[in-house]
Amino acid sequence: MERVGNLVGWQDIVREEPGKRVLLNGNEAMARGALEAGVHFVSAYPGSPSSEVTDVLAQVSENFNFYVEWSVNEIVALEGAAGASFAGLRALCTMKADGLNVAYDFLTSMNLGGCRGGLVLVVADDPFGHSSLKEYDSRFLAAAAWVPALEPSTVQEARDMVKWAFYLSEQIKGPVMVRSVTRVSHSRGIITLGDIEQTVREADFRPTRQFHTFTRFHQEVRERLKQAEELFAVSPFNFSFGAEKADLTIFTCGPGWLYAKEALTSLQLEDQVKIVRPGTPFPLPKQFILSHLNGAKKVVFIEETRPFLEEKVLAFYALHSENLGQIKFYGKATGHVSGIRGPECGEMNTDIVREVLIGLTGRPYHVPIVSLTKEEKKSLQASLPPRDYMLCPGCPHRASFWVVKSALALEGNNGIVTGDIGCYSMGAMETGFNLFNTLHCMGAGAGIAGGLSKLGAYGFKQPVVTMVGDSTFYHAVIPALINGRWNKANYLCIVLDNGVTAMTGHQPHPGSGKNAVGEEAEVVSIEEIAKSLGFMVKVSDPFRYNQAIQDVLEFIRMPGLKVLIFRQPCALAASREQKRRKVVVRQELCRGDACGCMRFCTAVWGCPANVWDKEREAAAIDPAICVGCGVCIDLCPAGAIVWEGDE
Amino acid sequence: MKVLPKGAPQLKEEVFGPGLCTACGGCVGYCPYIKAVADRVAMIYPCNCEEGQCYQVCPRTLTDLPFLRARVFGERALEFDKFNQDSLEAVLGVCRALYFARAGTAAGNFQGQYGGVTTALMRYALTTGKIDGALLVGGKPAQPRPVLATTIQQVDACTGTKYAALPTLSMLYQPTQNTSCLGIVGRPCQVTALRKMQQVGAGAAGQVKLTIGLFCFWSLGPEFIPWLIGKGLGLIDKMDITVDDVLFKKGEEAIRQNLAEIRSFIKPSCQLCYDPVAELADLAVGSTEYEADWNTLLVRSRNGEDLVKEALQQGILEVKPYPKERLPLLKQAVLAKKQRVLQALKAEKERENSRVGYLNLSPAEINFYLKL
Repeated sequence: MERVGNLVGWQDIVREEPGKRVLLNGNEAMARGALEAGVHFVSAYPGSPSSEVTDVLAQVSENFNFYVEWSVNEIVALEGAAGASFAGLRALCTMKADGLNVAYDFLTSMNLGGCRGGLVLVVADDPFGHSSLKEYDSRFLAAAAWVPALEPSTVQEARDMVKWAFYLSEQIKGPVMVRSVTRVSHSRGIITLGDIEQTVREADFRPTRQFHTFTRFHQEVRERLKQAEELFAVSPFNFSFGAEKADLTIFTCGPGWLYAKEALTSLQLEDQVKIVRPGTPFPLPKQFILSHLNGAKKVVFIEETRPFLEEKVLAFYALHSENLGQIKFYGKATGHVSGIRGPECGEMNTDIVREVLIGLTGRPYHVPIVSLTKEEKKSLQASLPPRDYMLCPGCPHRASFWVVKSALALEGNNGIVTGDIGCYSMGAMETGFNLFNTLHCMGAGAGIAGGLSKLGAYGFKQPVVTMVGDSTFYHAVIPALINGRWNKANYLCIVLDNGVTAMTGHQPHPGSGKNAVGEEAEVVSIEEIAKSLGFMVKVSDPFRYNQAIQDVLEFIRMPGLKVLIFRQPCALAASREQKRRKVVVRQELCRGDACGCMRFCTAVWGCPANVWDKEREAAAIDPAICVGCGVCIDLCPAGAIVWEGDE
Repeated sequence: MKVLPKGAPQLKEEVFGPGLCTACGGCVGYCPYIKAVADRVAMIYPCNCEEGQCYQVCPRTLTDLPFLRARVFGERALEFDKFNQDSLEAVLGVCRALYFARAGTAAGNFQGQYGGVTTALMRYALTTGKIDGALLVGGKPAQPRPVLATTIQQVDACTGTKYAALPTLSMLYQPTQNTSCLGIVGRPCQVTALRKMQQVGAGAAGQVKLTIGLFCFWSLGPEFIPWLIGKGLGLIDKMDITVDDVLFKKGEEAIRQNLAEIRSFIKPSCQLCYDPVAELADLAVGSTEYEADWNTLLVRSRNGEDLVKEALQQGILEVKPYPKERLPLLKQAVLAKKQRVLQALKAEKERENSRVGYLNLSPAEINFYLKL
């Protein structure tokens, strides 16, 4: 079995016997859940915090004889999984929240006609956007699509829910979503391994069977949801904890359950406060909720991202307030539950829950950080040194950004750069020289560039460049390029080809020459695609600074839509594969703070391997992290940075 | 030399921002913040150096002309309070001799512009070891590039005027291990920048021992080359701006273009140029606009005079007196240009008595031009 990724502990999923307790992260646990359910087909597009589910399944697929693929994007992944489900097989499709938007057109369509084999969609949200550009609450999309959703709070539940979701899907004959969040997917917890279902199924798609999308099927989906709600009503995923009867009740979903429990313990409120933990946020089991609203005087909502549970419960209460009496609600929608970014933004934590509980109960709690006033906390935060995002040492994107920055300055006329999604989204930040004028979602950069380039009649004369990743190119850029070709757009598309889907953990893509399970695969060449669309195409090396600038300038000036491919392997992948030459600094030549340098390598270029030697007041290289790309050798104005041996 | 305590931010604000960069190359190549590709120069990233060499050497920042003249010409430097209205040097700058000149019979075989004086002299200086490298502009008119020529063949590959403004001075920041004594052919703005660079010790400017300045009333900005390529003239061998039009030569084929269209590419910085005849050069060379096979040659420095004398003796050069009837035309052209620029610069706020825009001049010089 070839190890593709660096997945600490994942082997326990298959190494240990059922009944054993093992330490896994939430994504590994969900992978185990799918294994235990006897999954036959797995497809995904990587995206943090979801990637490891399929990463792990790709590692073990050979042992269990099921199919795994990294798909070119999320909608293709879900369509493939649905195909397996239509043939009666169990299929899993994983994606990050943003990917659900990509898959959503198909999800809302397919859900009408339903499916056969268990079809489970794992969507991982990223509250606070730790590795995303936006926060998202996929539960709202599940509800809008009328797809039942489960929401685990712990690693164990992540396994349990994924496993059970296959059963549920087959019961209702429709897809089921499991909503994870970063703190479930990327937390580690102990789970007890269950048996792996060894059912052998044949793919069976009879010609008489039909899966269609028609308006009349909405009624069927409605019935399916009712059926799901009935199953949820008796599901152990919905439970309560703490005081049986309490004035103060916490309703919580996801990791909020753990924060609430910890807050209660730390405030010694277990006997006085009840926690209600629905694990099935959509459709929310009405009777379960009403039974716990009954007798409550104050209700607090603790959930990740948006007030989904809160709004549903408030709606139930509105319909049944006569029987339930006066209840006061405290949540995100009411503004009471709020972190440093204010209500409905940012991530939950124990401190937020504790603060709300202290406010409601007057319970004393003396931990210095909590007893600080908001102003004191703010000033404490302000005293921390700022830490910006940073491209890796030797990252070819840094070189590409510097090339484009240089070329556009030389070209003049206020060139516009539209960015896209990947590691290279950092082109919108200091580490990418604040190059991007726009940054939205996968494929958006090329579409926006096309639109801008059609504004000549309104006086828009600026050069337009879009920078897209290789994986993004396959995922979402090709339609925008075709559109541009068709509608005579005029911009330069620069594809940053580093050979892998780097940001999400070096998953292969159609240009990598390998598939998800490490087999050799046909390379779908970016340049061949671009050429076949009729574009002028050139492959350029961003490490050859001067030539690359000339290539950009030449291409910008050509009329129409052009594709320039900046090809250099991802520095992390390359540094693993080959030993590169060592870079050193002739410190006696370093100009440092003087005119002609102004500490360019550390202050502007910003590669983490370029460091400042305070003692000698000169630049230095951190040999532990330098990957030997040599770009700073070319950029050093004093010729002080050199290859070892060239001193 | 008077310099202002300014740096890159002010260079951006006062020169690059308003489009006044002459593309001389004096600021290019010393630091990573200013970059040139072909005839384009730009500050690609803000540099916070408050007192920068880039600002000091720029020919469009404070330029202390009286000081620079004194450094180049010593006691021959211009003294405007002693000039009368008819003085030749008041208008043309220090002038030891003024000729019609052309390459002589012993100059060798090459294709220069007009009389080929510049190429002949550079070849001669290189052959005789007076210099061991020459900073020139090579390539065809649509693909010009700075060249450091160290052989006759390399010099010959640079013959002919390129009307795009190339930042050749940037070559002075590249280590020139094999050269110690350089010659340079440049536009007047480049000669000024070079003289400033020599004062502040920038790059290898100190190695430059022979400066041939070209007469230049304007040069063409970066849009010119794309226009040329767009017109299908990307492969032309030679270009000449005549009184009426522009002549492009490709082999034996001659193509003429309207001058007015080409004038639209004139660099904005040229409109503020006070020095169309390379006042600070050792020798200044231009067309005659009279006899196509001859150049105008203005001998300025002692150094230049020595070279010309030797070249005449060796048959490298051939000269004849500057035609009397042409002199008023030359004077008038230069005078009008200087007056126009002073008027334009004067419209800017004066900060000192002796300053007009970027120029530091003696009050006598200002009066000389503005009262004529």
